Amino acid sequence: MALKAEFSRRGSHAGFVIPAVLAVTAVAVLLLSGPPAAYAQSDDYRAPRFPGTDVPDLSGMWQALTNANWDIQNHGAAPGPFPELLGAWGAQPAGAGIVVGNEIPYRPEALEQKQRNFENRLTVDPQNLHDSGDPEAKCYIAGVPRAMYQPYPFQIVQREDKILMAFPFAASSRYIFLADHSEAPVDNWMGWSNGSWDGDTLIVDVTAFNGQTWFDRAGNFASAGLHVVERYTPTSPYHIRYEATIEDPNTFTRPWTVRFPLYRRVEENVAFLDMRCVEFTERFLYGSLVKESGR
Amino acid sequence: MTKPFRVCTVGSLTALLLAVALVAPSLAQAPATWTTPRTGWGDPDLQGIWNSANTGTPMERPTEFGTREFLTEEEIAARVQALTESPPPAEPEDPEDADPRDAALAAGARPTEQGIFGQEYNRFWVVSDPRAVMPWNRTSLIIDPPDGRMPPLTIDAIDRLEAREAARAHRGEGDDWRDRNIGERCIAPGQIRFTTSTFEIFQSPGVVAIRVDAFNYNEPMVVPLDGRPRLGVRQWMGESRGHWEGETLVVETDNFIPRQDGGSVMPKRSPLLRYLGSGETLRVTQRFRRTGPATLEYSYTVEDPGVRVAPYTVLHPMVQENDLLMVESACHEGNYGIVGQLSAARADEEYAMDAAREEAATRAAQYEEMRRHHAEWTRARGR
Repeated sequence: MALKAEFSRRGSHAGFVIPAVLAVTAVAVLLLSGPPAAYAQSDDYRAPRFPGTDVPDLSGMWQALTNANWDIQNHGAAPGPFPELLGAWGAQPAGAGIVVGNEIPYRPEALEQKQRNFENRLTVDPQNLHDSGDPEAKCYIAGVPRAMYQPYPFQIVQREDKILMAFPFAASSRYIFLADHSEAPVDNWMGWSNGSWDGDTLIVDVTAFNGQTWFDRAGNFASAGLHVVERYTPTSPYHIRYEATIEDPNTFTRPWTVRFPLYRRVEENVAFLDMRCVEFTERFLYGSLVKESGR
Repeated sequence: MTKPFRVCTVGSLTALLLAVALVAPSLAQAPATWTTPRTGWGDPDLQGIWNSANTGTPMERPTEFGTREFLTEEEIAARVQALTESPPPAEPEDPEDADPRDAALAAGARPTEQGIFGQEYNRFWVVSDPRAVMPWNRTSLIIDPPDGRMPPLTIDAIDRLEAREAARAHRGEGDDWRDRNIGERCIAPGQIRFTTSTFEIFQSPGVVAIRVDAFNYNEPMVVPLDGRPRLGVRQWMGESRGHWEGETLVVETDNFIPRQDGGSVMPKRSPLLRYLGSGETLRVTQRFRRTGPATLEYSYTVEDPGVRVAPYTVLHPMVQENDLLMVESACHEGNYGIVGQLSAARADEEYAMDAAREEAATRAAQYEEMRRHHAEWTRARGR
């Protein structure tokens, strides 16, 4: 709510900003409101109800099948950061992006920051843990929306008043409050999610980010002014259409959207398995501080 | 839209540090008419946020009770009175540290920050709300073995503790991260999964998720109820499977990562917690059963033949406190504590080297004087 107020104030200083944003958004909505062909046949789909309620049941193990964790924009294959050590292991796979229209409308200074992020993506300064390096490399909570397309199956456990999403990476989770919407008591890595149902679509308003999360290994990022509105629409027993509008006036000139399907993991032995990665990062993060003989 | 709530942080501390002022109805059985509600798909409904009841019951039975399991009515009343009359924790702990400006600032703080304003570093971890005292008739939380005491460690376990101390020899307080305990490293040990004092239960068909409230423990234990086989994959929190026994949820967990105590080196300030094993042979059985509209009986049995000579079972009465707010814990995400500890250890070494160099420099002048004296002596004697 505070974020919206700030955005409005900015608009009142420069009267054209808000109308311009609205116009661009309207055009984008018009252009994008037609679902892609792959979803077309599913518009009539009516999801099974969560037992005892009249809302869709999103429970289960889900996973995005994109390479967006490497780069949310269209990208080709590339060597990993240490090919001399790892060969083809750790190489970046090519991928079609998840950004609708593929363009991220950075402000000029933010675009420079994105490029610096990429160059320094594996740089660590233990005296300043947050200002350089991909948070994923440091085993930090991925945030929203990145947690939604990291390459791990995640679990949705639904309740009438709250939805719990559990993510293997960095032992993280998020709540979506469906009743009793509240303001975040503190900033969060995962933000603060208040959700509501619009027909069969779950709409989640996410605020109160801490400004430390990235979107991908390519250095795409947002500030603490990030505001994400997610839409979860079941399109078959095995698919959820996921769409998130990204808004951050500190970083972007207009809102933009990511969209991809979430696939239900149907293997008989699929399991929620931890990716508790703290131990894997201790030498990476603190190696420059250990006793000479122990290095 | 915004409703008042209480932020819950580290449950095990909150249970110890609560101010108490109220006496709530006893944990006695619910009215005869009460039955466990069911979910929309027919499972017993255990959902909600459950917090350890404030009973004042010690983990191990005080020896004067011997094998006596239950308190008399008089003893229960005395315990309730003692809990009710105990003063709330001083705020701050040392009145001389109090800054009168804090009171003025705190008056303007938002509700979630009231009571900790100006003392955030430590007070943040303490819930200072008065909590109801729950009369309970047990002499100890440990209900098995019959003496209510923790069975001894095995000789193997003690040998292992000593071997870890030996591995510590010749190491400083922070040669590297292995010299710090796993709490400081923000690695949640598996014991958090069963000894936590606050948890939230979510149920969906075929699965229960239990989100415990503890440091660096944000993801719930996800417990399949469909009888699927285990993968045999070791994890910090183990591998859990659950089933219903009547209205009791039973969760069995094994396959813990065998570094639960930090590994082969005994770290600095390693708290000798109740669970002292490596996790290799640990198996935990948890049971959750509702006993009334807002009460739940939680027990866990720890079997670890490599560590304890016998299993033991702990019983915790829990109360529903759905207004607690479970917030994200990001301990590793910005662990300047470990950075400071390792940096301090390097600074100590540097300081010691400097001091040694300075001392050597003062002696160098003395050696110069000895040489001068020697030269003078020989010259005087024409040698």
